[in-house]
Amino acid sequence: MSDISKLLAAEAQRLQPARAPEFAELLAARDRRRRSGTAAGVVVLIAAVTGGTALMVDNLGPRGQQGPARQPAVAVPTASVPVSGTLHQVGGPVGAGPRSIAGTVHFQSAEGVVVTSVDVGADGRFSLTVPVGTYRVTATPAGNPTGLCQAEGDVIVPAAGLADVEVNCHVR
Amino acid sequence: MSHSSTASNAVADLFRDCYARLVGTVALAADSRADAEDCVQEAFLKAFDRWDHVSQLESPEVWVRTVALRLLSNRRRNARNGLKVLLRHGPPTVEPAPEPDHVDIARALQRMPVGQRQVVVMHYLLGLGTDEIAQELRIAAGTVKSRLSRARTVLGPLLREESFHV
Repeated sequence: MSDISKLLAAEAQRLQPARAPEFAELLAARDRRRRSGTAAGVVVLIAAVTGGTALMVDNLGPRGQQGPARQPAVAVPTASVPVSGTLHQVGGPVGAGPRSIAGTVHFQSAEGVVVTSVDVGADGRFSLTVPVGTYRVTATPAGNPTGLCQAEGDVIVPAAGLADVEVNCHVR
Repeated sequence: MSHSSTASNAVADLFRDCYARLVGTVALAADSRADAEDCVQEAFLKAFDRWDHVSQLESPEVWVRTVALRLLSNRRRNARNGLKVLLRHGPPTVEPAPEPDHVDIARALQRMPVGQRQVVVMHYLLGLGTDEIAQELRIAAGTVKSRLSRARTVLGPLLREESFHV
């Protein structure tokens, strides 16, 4: 066994480096690495935040409080196209299915301005014409001016018009 | 003098005294001397970070040596550095052939994986027992024994040849 120890010791001696760096150099090098690492991290963070904001703005679409460039579809007057749909009351007591109700449906532009409103009969059906664009569609049920009814998500009205817009009034 | 500069002076002294010796020892278990130097340097930086603790030890040099030997088998570190080296230098070149006077032991070590080299160096050169090695490398004592046993089969012919020559 001692042979191995001697051999290893001799080999270790042979493997010793001729020159060593200064410890201060190592510390300085590590500080530099850390700083550049932090800088890279900050850059990534800024990119992530900027990218995230851009994504959020995209998701908000015309409804976000953006410059006029973002909602030409509504701002620029275009030909009105027919849109139809139904107003339903959903929820309520157990066993009560969706029920057509009367009321008023409002088509709001990106700024929240009501572009047009239409009265809905007791059968819940409505039809109207609006310019092509993206709308937020809300409704007021008859006899309940504070009731909140809304179509899910933005309603995008294409040039071909749109049918089957569903506006639901949720009651507990 | 601030605490930090006291520590950095103390570690710098230790570094000057022990660096070459530690690299020689760790290089036995490493793939290359460059790798050994890298581990020893990293271990010294760790010693600096924990100087409050390390300075209280009987031998800070042993602490650094243990950390450097342990770093050799740190997989995440090896993968990271392997990638860095590849990006910086391209694929590895063939190492020059060892010279005749140390050819046997160097060749024997080259044939072992890093885990076996670690235990061979710690056992045969540093004289540590199985339990101590297990503790230092944070592996099971049984693993140390089996690695030593496999290493002996590689070193065995060398041992016999050596005793034959003497």
